[in-house]
Amino acid sequence: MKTNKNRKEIRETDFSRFTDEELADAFVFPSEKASTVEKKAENDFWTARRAQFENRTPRQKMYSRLLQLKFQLEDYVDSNQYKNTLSFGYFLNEYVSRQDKKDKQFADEVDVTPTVLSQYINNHRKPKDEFVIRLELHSNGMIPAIFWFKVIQKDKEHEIMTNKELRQEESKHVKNRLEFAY
Amino acid sequence: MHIVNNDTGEKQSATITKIDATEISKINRTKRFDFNWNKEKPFSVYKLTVDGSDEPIGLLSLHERPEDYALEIRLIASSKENIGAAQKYSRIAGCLIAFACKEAFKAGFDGYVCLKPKTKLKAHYIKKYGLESTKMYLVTYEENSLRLIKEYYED
Repeated sequence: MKTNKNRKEIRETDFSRFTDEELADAFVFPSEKASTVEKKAENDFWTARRAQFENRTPRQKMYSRLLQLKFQLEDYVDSNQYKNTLSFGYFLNEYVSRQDKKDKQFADEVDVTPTVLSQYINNHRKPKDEFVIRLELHSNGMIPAIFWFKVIQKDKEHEIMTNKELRQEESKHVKNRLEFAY
Repeated sequence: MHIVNNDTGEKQSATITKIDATEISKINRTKRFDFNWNKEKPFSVYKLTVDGSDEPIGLLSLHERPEDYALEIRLIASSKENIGAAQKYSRIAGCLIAFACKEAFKAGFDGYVCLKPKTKLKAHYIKKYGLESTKMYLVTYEENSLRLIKEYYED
């Protein structure tokens, strides 16, 4: 006779104690194995989904790309991680290119020169508050200024923590340093 | 993102994080959740915790389907003390569904999330989360997914 000694029993809740509403509020239950008829319906469902996605209009595709960027940016600025590739310039460049716009056209839309926009995109110039407000207004609020501000802040935090040259440079301006151990 | 403490009526911030196979086994052993979560190891499993506590109060298993441009919710469970009228926290399942919607936008799937409901619960999911009914699945995408994200992520 087989022994059940090693089998882990997961004792489940008595679901009959709860109303359907309470169950829907707490669970999505595992689905049962599909029958042949259900398998066919499932395949039809996924075929329809693929067709729906692939037949989107250019406008729907652009909207989707921009929402993707919004949520990627939001998650990044809310996380504790830093990636030097995910700079303000990177996200700004994505914002422009996902609208299928040339830099020159976008620069005109937010009233900066193409040179200044290029400097922002290449992280050679720090954007002013006015510019991040313009970005929020340009996206009609889809990407709030605070997201842009936070990514600039993240770049700044990294720079201040890792800038050895600046420490060396500023060293000559500091005397009578504390000698406490910490 | 926040859940509501039903004892105090206060909103409490919550976080959703991905867990690995080791943590799934560990949580499964606690028996604080229904279903065998070890079976979900081939999929992406997430836990919902109240900020300031490591103890999960909700679990989600997601099947990523890039070939179908969709995320499928395979399983959601609130911890046993959070089921029914005596639940300590509300909004757990809603937060997990909204999280799935957000991931579906980040993946470029237009927020497309689906789940296969138990027939008798279908109407409740539709009413509570605005899901759309198809023959086999309940689905949310685009505007409804954005609405769910706003409802569960914003204060």
